Amino acid sequence: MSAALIAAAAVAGFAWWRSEQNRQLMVAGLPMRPPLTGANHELPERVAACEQHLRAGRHALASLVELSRLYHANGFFPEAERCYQLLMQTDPGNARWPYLLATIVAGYGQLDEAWPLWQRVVALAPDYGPAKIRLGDAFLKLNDYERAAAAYTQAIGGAKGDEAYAQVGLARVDLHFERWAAARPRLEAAVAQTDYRIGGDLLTTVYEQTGDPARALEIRGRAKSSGSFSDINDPWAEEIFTDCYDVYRLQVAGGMAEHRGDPAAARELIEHALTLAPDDTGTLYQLGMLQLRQEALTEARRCFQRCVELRPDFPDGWAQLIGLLEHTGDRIGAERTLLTALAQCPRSPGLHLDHGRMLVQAGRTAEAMEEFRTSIRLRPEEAAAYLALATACFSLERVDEGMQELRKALKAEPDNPMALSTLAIAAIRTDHEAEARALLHRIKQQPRVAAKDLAALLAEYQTQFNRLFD
Amino acid sequence: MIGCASEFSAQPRSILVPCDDRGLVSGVKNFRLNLFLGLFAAALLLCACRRTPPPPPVSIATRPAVVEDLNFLTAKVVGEPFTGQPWISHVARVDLDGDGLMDVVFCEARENKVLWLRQVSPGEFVESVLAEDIPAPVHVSAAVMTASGRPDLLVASMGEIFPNNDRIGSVIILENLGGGRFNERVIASHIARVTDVQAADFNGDGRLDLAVGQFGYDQGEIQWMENLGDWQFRSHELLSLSGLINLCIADFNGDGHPDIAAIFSQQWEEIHLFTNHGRGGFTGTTLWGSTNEDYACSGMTLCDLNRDGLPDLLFSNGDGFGPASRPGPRPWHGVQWLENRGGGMFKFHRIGDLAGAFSPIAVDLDGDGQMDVVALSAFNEWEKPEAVSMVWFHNDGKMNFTPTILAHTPTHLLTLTELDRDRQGRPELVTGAFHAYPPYGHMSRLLLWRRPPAP
Repeated sequence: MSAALIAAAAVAGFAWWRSEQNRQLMVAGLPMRPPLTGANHELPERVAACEQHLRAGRHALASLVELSRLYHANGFFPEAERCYQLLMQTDPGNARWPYLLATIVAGYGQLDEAWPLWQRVVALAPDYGPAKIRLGDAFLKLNDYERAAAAYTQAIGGAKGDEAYAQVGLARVDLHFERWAAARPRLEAAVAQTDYRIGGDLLTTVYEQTGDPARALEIRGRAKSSGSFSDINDPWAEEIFTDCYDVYRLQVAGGMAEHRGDPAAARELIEHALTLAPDDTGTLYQLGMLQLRQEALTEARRCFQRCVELRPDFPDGWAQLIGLLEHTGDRIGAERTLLTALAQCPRSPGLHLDHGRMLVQAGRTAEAMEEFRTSIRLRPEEAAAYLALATACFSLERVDEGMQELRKALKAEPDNPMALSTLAIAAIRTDHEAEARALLHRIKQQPRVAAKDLAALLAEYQTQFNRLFD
Repeated sequence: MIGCASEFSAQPRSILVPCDDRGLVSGVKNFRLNLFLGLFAAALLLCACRRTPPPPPVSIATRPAVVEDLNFLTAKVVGEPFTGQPWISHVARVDLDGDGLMDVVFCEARENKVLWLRQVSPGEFVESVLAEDIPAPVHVSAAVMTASGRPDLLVASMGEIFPNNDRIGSVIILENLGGGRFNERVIASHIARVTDVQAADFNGDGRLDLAVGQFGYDQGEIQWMENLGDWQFRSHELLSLSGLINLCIADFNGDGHPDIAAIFSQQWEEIHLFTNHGRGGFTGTTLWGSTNEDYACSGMTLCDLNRDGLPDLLFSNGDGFGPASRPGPRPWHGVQWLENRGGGMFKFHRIGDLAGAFSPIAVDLDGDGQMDVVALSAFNEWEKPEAVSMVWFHNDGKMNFTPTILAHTPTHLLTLTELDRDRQGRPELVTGAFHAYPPYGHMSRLLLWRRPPAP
């Protein structure tokens, strides 16, 4: 019994001694506190409290962990880096610390330093898929395709989301060696698992390279621009944002969460930002847009309403509010709001465009055309107002004028589907075959022209010129 | 290891001391038990005592003290006055009329124009339009493409600046006919949006070929276009990847053939080197990359920063567009260089932080014989007066760079070139601003930045 007591005492003594050694190590290695002026008052207070607890030996490890999160979440990366290095020494079995440290150094492009850390993470936490993906990505960018493939392969069979990233990684290895056929099923699996959130861009290229242009066009036709990539779901990197006091960083993190298909996490982050700055119109607008996309229309309206109360010169807030009113059938409210908005934002091209459309609906086409012209003058680089003006011209049978506006729309957006199609119809009907052919060639390369519209154009061409368009 | 072993070795010995008063037999039994427990504890402690080796030395850039010297350079408006919001997407220097004075050619992406700021006498400029109706021109560079000896202009046309995956890009050469006249030649059209075009003789046939960078959006590529003569070119794809921002052409590996370096943004965030084996054969490799999909590569220029005779690459990350409701800074935005160590080997070096960093150039700004770096900020928190729009990273001669803030305003500066040297041999810089998003309180179009005259 005595021996057991002695052993226990020895273990306890050693544990105390070890803890004290660690504490001393932490205190000695603490990063210099950076200037925190301008930050939310809680941040410097919490940083100071963590340092104080560490020095006093109260919950030293927990304090250092909190300090690391505070620095990392608020963009003080050199200080966070120092904390993670201390944590790796004092809590060496915890895979989070090398992971988060690697995230920082890799975030600066220092992959030579990041990959050994991620390799350590994979050994310590073999179930954490994002580490394998990051390791694979690092090797890929370091031209070590063999090790990249090995890392990605380890993630196959893991969480479904992780596997899609592994498949894209393996596909990139294949593409480097021009193994198009091998890359194709991997990318098809990735787009199927993520509903085209990742892999669609490369798959399009693979379809083009493997002689399947129809499928490539099908993907291209999904959107004017998809920008489909979203980063892997990474709970360890994301959880630090609960300690973030930087409104803009929270907005960015919220946007990324929504983009990767996690609106709940996005909402949490944006609402966190709002608790820090309740009157920040950028955050309110972002929350409103999130709610709108989630079809929470009442909440969205509240956000946009608050935006314009706080910043009456914020045209995007007005535009969304007007759109919501129209969507809910409150046409009178929408009109009234639009006029208020224009009084507040007389140089908003979008609001003038909206006003023009509203006037067209009310049959006041001549006034609408003036609004479209104002919109064009304020924002000549976008096609929408030219197209609206052209449509108005056609409704008044001012065809030549309408055609001119369509040509201007094509200068603003060279392959705008509506402009191309309308010009093609006009060329066919006015017997300008060469022009019609040139336009039809462009339309056939424009995947956003619906197949039935293309078929109708080709049929009209055949009728008009008595031959098939080839 | 903090002296662990010596303290640990003392512990088991103390357990062996026979201090039990219940007799020899029990003492012997206890002794065995104690011995076992003692060894167990020792093993336990030994395990506990083993420390993981310290982590490998990793370090992101330290933050040197930032200096502010807003009077180091003074800005003078050059070119025509503006209304609305200028979208100057690129400025480049070239003596276009061969009068011995450096001129500026530049792109106005909102007005779809390529323009010429002709230096008619030192420091005096006259602006004229070289080409209109080039949709969203974003890069212009000079190359002598004909036997005339006059510099022609290679123009990259995106078709539309903001996201669009349609094949609306084009490559245009403004053939210099002399006397300020230019003939527009469309070399390629209906291709993924083009962001850079540069010329070099890649296959050694004596004709200048083209390297063409195409950002696209979801699909993009880099290709070289073989000059077949008579303004005919044949495309050779090097890589299908979206997001290409800039190209740099140089003989990076010293084998006598021009190679191509390309920087890709979007989610890739990589720099690739296409090594030319002569006769137009290339091998691609990744020189550098970040796994941070929001790294936001924004530009790359060629330089010899350490003046070792080997071409280095200077690049920035600072494209602030992203998933938030407005573009803005990230902590990792900044400037860095890839040191060419010869034989195709490069080493990454961080130069410094700069929110919204764009358009880094190497220039000996203070005449101390060392190549410094100047960079701009295009995306910053402009509502904050401390937001910075131009920074000089001063090289101490040992490739340590100290940031000096040169300007907080005007804002939204996107493109920069060293125009020339003044009579004292001091550099003159030209900036272009891209005001595509608010605030619009401190706007500019083209500015000439010079050292103020000595008192």
